[in-house]
Amino acid sequence: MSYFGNISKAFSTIATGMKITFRHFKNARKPDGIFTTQYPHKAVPLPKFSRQQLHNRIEDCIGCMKCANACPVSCIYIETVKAPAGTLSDTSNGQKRRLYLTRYDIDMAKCMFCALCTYPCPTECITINSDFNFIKFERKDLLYKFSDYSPEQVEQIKQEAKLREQQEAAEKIAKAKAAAEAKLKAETEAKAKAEVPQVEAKTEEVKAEQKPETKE
Amino acid sequence: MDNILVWTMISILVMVGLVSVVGIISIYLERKVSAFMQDRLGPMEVGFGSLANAIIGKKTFKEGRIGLAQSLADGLKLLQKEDIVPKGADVFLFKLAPMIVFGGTFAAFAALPLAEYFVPADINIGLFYILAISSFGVTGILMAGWASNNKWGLLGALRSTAQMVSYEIPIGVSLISIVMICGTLSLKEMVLAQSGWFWNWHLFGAISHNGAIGIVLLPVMFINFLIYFTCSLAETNRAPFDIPEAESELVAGYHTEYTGMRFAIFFLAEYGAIFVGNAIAVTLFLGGWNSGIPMLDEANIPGIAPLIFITKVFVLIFVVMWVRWTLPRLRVDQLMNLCWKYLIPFTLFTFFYVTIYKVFLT
Amino acid sequence: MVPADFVFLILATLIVACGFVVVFHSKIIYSAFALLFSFFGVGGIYILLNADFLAGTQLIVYVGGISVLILFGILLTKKIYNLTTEETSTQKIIGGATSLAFLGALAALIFNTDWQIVTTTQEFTPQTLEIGKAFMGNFILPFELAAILLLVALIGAVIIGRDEKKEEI
Ligand code: SF4
Ligand code: SF4
Repeated sequence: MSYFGNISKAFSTIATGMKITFRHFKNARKPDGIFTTQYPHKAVPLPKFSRQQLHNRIEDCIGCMKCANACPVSCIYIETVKAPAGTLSDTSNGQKRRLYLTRYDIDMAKCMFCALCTYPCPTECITINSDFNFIKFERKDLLYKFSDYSPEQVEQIKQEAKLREQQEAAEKIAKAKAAAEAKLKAETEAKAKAEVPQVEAKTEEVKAEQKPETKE
Repeated sequence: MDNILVWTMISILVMVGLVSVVGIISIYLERKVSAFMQDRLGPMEVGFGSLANAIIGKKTFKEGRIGLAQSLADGLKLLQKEDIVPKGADVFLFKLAPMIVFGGTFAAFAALPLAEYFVPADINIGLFYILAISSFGVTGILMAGWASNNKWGLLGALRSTAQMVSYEIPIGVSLISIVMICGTLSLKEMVLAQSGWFWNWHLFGAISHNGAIGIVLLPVMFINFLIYFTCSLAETNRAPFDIPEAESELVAGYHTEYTGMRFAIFFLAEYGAIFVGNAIAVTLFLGGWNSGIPMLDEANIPGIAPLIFITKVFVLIFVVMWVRWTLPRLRVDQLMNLCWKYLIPFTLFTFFYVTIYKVFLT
Repeated sequence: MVPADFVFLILATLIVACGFVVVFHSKIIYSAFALLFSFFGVGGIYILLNADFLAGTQLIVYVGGISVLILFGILLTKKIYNLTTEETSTQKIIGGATSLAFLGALAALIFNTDWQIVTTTQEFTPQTLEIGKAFMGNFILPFELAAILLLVALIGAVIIGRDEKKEEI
C-alpha cells in the first residue's frame, strides 16, 4: 500500500474504532447500555434446580448410607450408633429411625455438585439448594457437619452403646451358657429320651447367633 | 532567606497536593471512562460517605453511590501495604528510583502556566525546561527496571527508555514550529499571545501574530498538534504505545516489583506525566487559560482561568483515555516505523513550511 | 551566607561526591548513575550562573542523552547484574604521578588566573536570544560544521546498523 494510503487507512480505521467506543460511552447512561449487575444489591436469578450447596434435614435421616454409597467422590462421611428401640422419633414420612447419627459430614470442597446423593435417599432428607454464596476463609470450614450431637454427646452415646453392647454380650454369653447347658442337659437327656428335645435346642442356637449380626 | 525557605516549602506542598489531586482524579476518570466504554459501571461503592463511615466505624454519613472516593481509598490502602523489597534487588537504587521518577514529573509541574498570575515557576525557557526535566524521569525508569532485578522490569525499562528517547525528536521538532511563530520559549507569553477569540489559538494558525494571513498555517498546525499528541502518548507510555508496560507480555514493565506506596508513587507520576504532556498541548495549541471568548476572560471571575486551563487539560486526558480503550497495542517495529517513517518526515515538513511562512510571508 | 552560596555548596558537593563514586565504585552501574547525577549538578551550577539555556541543554544532552546512552550500553551487555570493573591497577606509580601532576597543573591554573568577577546584582536576563544570534551570526561556520558532522555520524550509524543480507521480508 502506498505511503499516503497507509496514512489515510490509519485515520479511517482509528476513526471507526473511536466512534464505536464513544457510542458505548454515550450509551452508558441508558438503562440497557450497561451489562454489570451490582451483585450484592441485585443478582441474576439462577436457573431452576441449580445445584449449589447440600443440606441434610438431620432429623429425617435414618443413616442408611445410601447417599454415601452413591457419591462418586466419596465425600459424605457417616457414622452411626445403634439406638435402643423407641428412643428416636420417627421421620416425617413415617419411617423408623434406629440409629444415632454421630457423624454426618459432607466435604463441600470435594463435592462436585452432581446431586447423585439426593436421589437414593429414602426419606428425601438430603437436598441440594441454590444458595451459591458459601465463601469460607478456611478450607476446613467447607466440611459441613450436620450431626446435631456435640462431641460430648457423641462420646456419651458411644459410651452408652458400649455399655449396652457389653450387657448384651454378657447376656449373650449367659444365654450361650444357658444354651450350652441346655444342650448338655438335652444331650444327657437325649440319651434317655431320643427325638423331641433336640429340635428345641437347635432353635435356641439360631436365636443366639442372630443377635451379634444385627448389632453391627 | 527564611522567607525564601518558607515560600519554597509552601509552594512545594501546594504542588505535591496538586500532583496528587490530579493523579487521583485521573485514576478515577480512567476507571469510569474505561468502564463505560466497555459497558461496565466502574467503581460504584466507595463514595466519600462510605469511606468516612469505614474510617470512623459507624454509619453516620450517606453512602456514596458512584464511587467518587475510590482512588482515595485505594491510596489509603496502598499506604498501609507492606513495603516489599525483593531479595535480589539493589536496595539503594530500588528505593531511589520512584523518587526520581516522581521528581521529574513534579519538577515539570512547576513551570505550567495555570493562569496569568499563577505560574508556580515562571521560567523564561519554560518549554525547554519542561522538555529537559522530563528527560530526567527516563533515568528513574531505567533505574527502577535495573534495580528490581527482574527480567520483566528490565525489559520494560529498556523499551520505555528507547521509546521515550526516540519520540523526543518529533516532539521537539513539532514544538519548534510554535516557538518560531511566537519567538519565545516562555509558556506564559505563548499563552498571552493566544488571548482573545478562539481562532487566535495556535491550533488554527498564527492569526494573533500576523492577522488573517496566519490562516495558511492552519493545516500544518493541525498536523503538528496531532503529531505532538501522538508523541505525548508515547512519551507517557500510554496505549497504544504501552509497550513498556504491556500487561500481557511484561506483567507491568519497570514497576513490576514495586508494592505499596512506592507503586502508588509510580502511578501518580505516570498520571502526572500525562497531565503535563496534555497541559503543554493546551498551552501551546489550545490557548492555555484563555476561554476562547474574550467576554468571559474579561469578566475577571476569580479563579476561572486555572479552572479553564484544567478543564481543557482534562478534556484532552479524556481523549487520551478514549484512545487507550479503543486502540490495540503496537508492536515494537510498528512503533519505530511510525516514529521514523511517518512522524519525523511530517514534522520536518511542517517545520519547513513554518520556516518559509516566517521568512517570506511576515 | 546568601542562599546562592548555600545552593552552590550543595551542588558542588553533589558533583564531587558523584565524581568520586564514578571513579571508585566497583559496580559499573553505580558509576553510570553517579555520572548522571554529576551532570545534573553541573546543570544546577549553570542555572546559578544565570545560564538558563545552557542548563537546559545540559539536562537534555547529558542527562537525557549521553547518560541514558551509557546506561543503555551497560544494560544491554550480558551478565548485567554482576558487572564490575577491574579494581587492581598495574602501574600505580606512573598513574599516581600523572594524576598528581595534572592536579598540580590545574591548581596552578586556578590560582594564577585573574578571574573576572561579575557582580551578580544585575537583573537576570534570558540568554536564549543571544545564544541564537551568536549561532546564526558570528559562529555560523562551527555551528554548520557540527551539524554536518552529526549528520554524517547519523548516516554512518544507519549504514553500519543496516542488515547486510538482502533477503526479502
Ligand atoms: S452432590 Fe455428588 S459429589 Fe456432592 S456429595 Fe452428592 S453425590 Fe457426592
Ligand atoms: S440416604 Fe438419606 S436417609 Fe440415608 S443416610 Fe443419606 S441422607 Fe440419611
